[in-house]
Amino acid sequence: MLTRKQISSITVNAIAVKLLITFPHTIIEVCKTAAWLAAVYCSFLIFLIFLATVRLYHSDRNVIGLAEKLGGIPLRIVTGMIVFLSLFANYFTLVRIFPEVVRLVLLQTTYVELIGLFFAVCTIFGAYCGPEAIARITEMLLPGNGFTFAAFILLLIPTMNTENIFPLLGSGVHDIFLGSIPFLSVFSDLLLLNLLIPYMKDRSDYRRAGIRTAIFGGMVASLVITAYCFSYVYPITKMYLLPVYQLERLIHLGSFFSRLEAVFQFIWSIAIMLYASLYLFVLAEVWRETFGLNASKPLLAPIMLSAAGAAFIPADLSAAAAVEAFIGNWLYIPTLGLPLVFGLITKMFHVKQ
Amino acid sequence: MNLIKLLLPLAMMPILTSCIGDEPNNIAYMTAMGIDKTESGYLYTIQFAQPTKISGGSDEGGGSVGNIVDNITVEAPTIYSAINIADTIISKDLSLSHAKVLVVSEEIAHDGIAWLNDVIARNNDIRPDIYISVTENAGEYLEEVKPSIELNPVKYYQLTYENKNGSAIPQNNAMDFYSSYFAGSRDCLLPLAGIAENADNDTTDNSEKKSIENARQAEAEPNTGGFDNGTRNYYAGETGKRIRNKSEVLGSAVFSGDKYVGKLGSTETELHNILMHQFTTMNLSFYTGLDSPLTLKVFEKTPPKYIINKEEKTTEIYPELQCELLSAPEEYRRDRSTKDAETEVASMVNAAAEDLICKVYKEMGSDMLGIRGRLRKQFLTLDEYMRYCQSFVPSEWSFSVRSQINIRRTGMTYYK
Repeated sequence: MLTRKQISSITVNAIAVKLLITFPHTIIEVCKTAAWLAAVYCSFLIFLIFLATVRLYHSDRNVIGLAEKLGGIPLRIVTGMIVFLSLFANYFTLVRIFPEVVRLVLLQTTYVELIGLFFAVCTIFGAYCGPEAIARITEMLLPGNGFTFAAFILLLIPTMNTENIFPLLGSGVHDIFLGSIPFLSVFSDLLLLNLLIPYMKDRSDYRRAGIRTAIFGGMVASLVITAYCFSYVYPITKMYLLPVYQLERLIHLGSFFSRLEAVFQFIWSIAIMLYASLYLFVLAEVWRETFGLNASKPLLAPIMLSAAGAAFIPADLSAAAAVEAFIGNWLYIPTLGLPLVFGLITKMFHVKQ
Repeated sequence: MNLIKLLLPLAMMPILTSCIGDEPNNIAYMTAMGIDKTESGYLYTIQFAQPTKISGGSDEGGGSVGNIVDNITVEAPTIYSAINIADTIISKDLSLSHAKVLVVSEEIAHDGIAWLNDVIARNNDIRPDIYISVTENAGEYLEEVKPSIELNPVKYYQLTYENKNGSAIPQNNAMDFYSSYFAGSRDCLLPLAGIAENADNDTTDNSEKKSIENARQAEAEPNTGGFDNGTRNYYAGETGKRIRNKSEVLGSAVFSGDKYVGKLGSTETELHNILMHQFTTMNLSFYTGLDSPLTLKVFEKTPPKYIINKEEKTTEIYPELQCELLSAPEEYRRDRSTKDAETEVASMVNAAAEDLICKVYKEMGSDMLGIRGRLRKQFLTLDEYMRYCQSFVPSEWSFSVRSQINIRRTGMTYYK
């Protein structure tokens, strides 16, 4: 069983990891200089969406279990497949982007296949250990990561320029309030909370941990995008592949500490491994639950292999980033919509009873 | 099984440390690169550190006698092909990770250097804070770089270009140039580099007896408007020279977009730095009408305030300078108070700054103060702003400077 703190830790970690890759680019592409404003708006929106979800969702089962209860095995399989495909789409882009990025910024002489292999082995190993082990390590590391993140933001203050966020409305009000909606996909990992309900001691943990995740995840998202928009001027903000890495490159602490991106890369790698392990575990669990299998651990390696196979379909890193952006444009619909819809149906069903 | 679980990730760790690549002993660290134009392409001068000559390289006492850097000149179409050729000349592999300066010739700068932006932004080895400077001949300039009081060439460039205690070069690096060019927020000034020349007034061939006077010093015009009075408005290569290191960085190369359109001397650059809040500290002399000048140590602690009227195309600039009185003529001290001095100095700063702005905006057509960038606040959406920027013409704007001078301290002696 997972504690409330552990659940919050793994989901906050999941959201933070996404922001460290290419997601900030998506919102900047749409909202331009007002990306920071859109990030704050989306953070507020996700808080409201999650509040609505927990208000409607009153079940001890996750969405797949609830689907079975409402519509039997066919609905369970349909729901399970939607969940699996949504998570898988999110996962396989990570499997491609992580090794490419590590090679690009850190291990420039190491083969990308070797980094990918290391990533796959570690992820399978982590997923094999189960959610409790992943959650415990995440719980231990998250305060340190949070402290490092806060220190980075403080060190970036001298490089920030308030003029960079003007014109204030960027590409316009329409883009801030409607065009930025796909950015909610950053928070799509709130679905993990729902899928991990069977591992929670109490149903109230789902609500409390979720609210905590929405608040902290929203804060991290807003801070990252705001720091980036304040530090670089548009259109430079949309040119860089890895916004957070570029932020770290700006930091100088005297003559001796001018390459702090290595620290960032170290923390980021650990965070992403934990995230990927948890994701793989959840994917296997979803498959097991969907098809009523007895065990999920034998599925870990096949799922990882499938993800690796799909990951290397895009020809290059830019194509992989484009696929990730495309998936990000619709991912929020099933991941945030399913708990909401099933919660609503359950509520209506209970009202009728 | 548990042992296998433990060993599997551990076995992979050594091969992911990147230690199978180049060892530091096998790398030659490039410190600067010069780019000149030839008839068929570009001439790249690659300057790299000589580890045996720098601190700790030869013995505990530091470096040995000789230059701490060496140069290779190769003709190539791009920076990377130049590095490829250079790699075949020297025994070690060149690395860009410690490169501090890219020096481009005036001829290349005239044609535009936007292509350099892509090289700098895309390469992970090159630091964003690398400097770009402009000189007459980049190769010759780098040949003359012979640091005499530093044992580390990277430190030499860092101290020279950051110039923390002086304000005669613009504090813009490659990142500033890159972002201001793409954002269209301002036209960036870059440091100007040059070489001093010996005034060889000795008839013998004995080089030890060469003059220490720079032959080009007389080319620089002395300031007569009151601001930094009597000092010459030096361009790089025109100041009093040193025997060994003839390279200098002084003044600014003015750009319009990515094209080099003119240059500013040391005094003009000081004024630019005051207007752009890049000014640190300097001792400046002001004309008093008497034989000796009023000397002040000037600081700029707060950024100047800009009031911009985009309809009338006018800008009022309010710099605020804090000063310490270093010296004043006796007659001046007798007749006038510090308040009088503040008023007189302010008028001299205003006149000199307005002359500079007029020269750059009207004659060179460069938006060095970043009026376009400062106007961003007056627009709500980026489309409106971009449309306005397309019709922005620097020469149509007029400026007035209203500086405020505060003499906070008068040194160790009393002054009314």
